[in-house]
This record gives sequence, structure tokens and C-alpha cells, in this order.
Amino acid sequence: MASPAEPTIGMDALDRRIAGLAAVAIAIHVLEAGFPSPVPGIKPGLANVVTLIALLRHGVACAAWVAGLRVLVGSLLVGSFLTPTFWLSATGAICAFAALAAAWLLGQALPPLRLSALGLSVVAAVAHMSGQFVAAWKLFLPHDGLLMLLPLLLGAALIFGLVSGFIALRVLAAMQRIEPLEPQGGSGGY
Amino acid sequence: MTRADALVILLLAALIGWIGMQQWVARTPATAVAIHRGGERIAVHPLDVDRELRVEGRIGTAHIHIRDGRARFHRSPCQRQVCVHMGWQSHGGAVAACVPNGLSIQLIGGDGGFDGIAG
Repeated sequence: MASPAEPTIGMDALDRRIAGLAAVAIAIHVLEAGFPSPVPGIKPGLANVVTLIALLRHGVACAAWVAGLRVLVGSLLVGSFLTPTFWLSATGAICAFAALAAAWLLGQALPPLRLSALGLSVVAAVAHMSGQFVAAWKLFLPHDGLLMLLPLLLGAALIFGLVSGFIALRVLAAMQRIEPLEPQGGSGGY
Repeated sequence: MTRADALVILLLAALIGWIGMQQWVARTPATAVAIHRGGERIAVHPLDVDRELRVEGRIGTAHIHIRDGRARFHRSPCQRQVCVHMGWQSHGGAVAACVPNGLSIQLIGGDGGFDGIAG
């Protein structure tokens, strides 16, 4: 329960969850931005683990809030807000979220097609990279040579998506032990 | 991991592999090389005739070699020699450029041919 010192006016339990999850996602986002990358455009994208957890535990709306807040506040903290990097990041995040929500809703409608955190993570990672690539290619660097990089970038996205997915599965299982919650979408687990 | 997970991961891996084949393996050989100076096409040579060309650029004479269906900058008066280090080019659409000297070669024919003509 909330202690008296915490502000509670106008905030419900879901708002608190969104704020907490977004804070974790932003922290991961900022830490990742500080790591050097061997190839421009490739980074693990571990902040998406938090989006996945939000989606699987609290539903699409909560995940949308967490992802949106992460991109906005993360870019403000890193100092990339409204720069080309921000637009690439935002395009990637929007594509990833659209694919994630589509895969999720499809799984709700047709249970045999329901994906676990692993499949959802891979779908989101590949969609993120695809969206970012098309934006980079069309807006900033319209050279056909860039297409040569596409298989490499998508391969990296697939691998990092698998890694993030495994992490999400582990974290979800641990969270479920600590704070059991009916998974979104009913039975079937994560 | 559900069965749907495995299916999605395999499908995406196959798709990425296919894109890789398209981009890296299934590129068609070029048939001719176009030489550009300052954005203007100044010559086109077929790749089936071996040749050693000397082309005047902005800062000096570049040597461009055509051999075995490939073309390259062999020697250039520029400082960093990026164009020479790009080596042999053999696929349609491939480009090697010497920015300081204002010269570039672009291979035409194969898949990249129409891009070359439009450019």
C-alpha cells in the first residue's frame, strides 16, 4: 500500500505501474546509449524487455505508454530529442510497437497463433530494425549500397530479439513468483 | 516457447536469409563500365575487352583498368587512394569513386544497369 508521503491524488495503480516500468525502461535506454557499438544501427535494445513485460502483464495500453515514455524521456536525457537519431529511434519504436500489438491481438483472436515473450520479442526487434532501416534509407542516405547492410542488420535484430525474449521470459517468471498476476489474455501463461 | 514462436522465428530467419541471397549472392555480372567526371558521363567501355585507360580528372591523371569483366582504379593522383583501395568492381550497379579527383566509375548491365542509366 502507498505510504502517506507518496502522492496518490489522481493516480491509480496502473499509473504507478506505468511510471515504474517506464523508469526502468528509460534507465536501460540511457545505459545502452552509452555503450559503443561495432556497427552503427546495431544495439541490443534491452529496453524492449520492459515493453514486453508491460504488454504481457498489463496489456496493450500500458505497453504503449511505457514505450512512448521511454523514447520521449530517453531522448531528452541522452540529448537526441528531435535530432535525426530521435526520428530513427521513434520510427523504429512505432514500427516495433505496431508489430507487437498486431502479433498480440492476432494471438488473442486465434489462440494457436499466440506467441510467448520470445516470439513477440523477435517480431518487435525485426520490425524495429526494418522501420529504422527504411527511414534511414529514404530520409538520410538514399544510396542502394545501404541495402547490402540489410541482411546483416536484420540478422543482428533477430539474434538480439531472441536474447531480449529469453530475458523477458525469465523476468516474467520471477515476477509471477513474487507478485502473481493473471496474465493478460487469460490462460496459457507467458 | 510455443509452437507459434518457433514458426515465427523460422519464418523470419528464412526471410532474412532470402534477402541476404538477393543482396549478396544473386547479383548479376555487369557488362560495361561508365566513367563519370564531375557527375557527367564521359565514356562507356565494354567489360569484355581488356583495356588500360588514362582519364584526366580535376587534380591529375587516373589509370583505370578493365580486365576479365571487371574494372578498377589502378592508380590515382589523390592523397587517400580510397578509389584504388576499393579494388575490382564486377557487379551491375557497383561504384568506385575518387572524390578529390572528381572521377567515378559505375558498372552497368546486370540488375543495376537501369539505375546507372537513370543516374
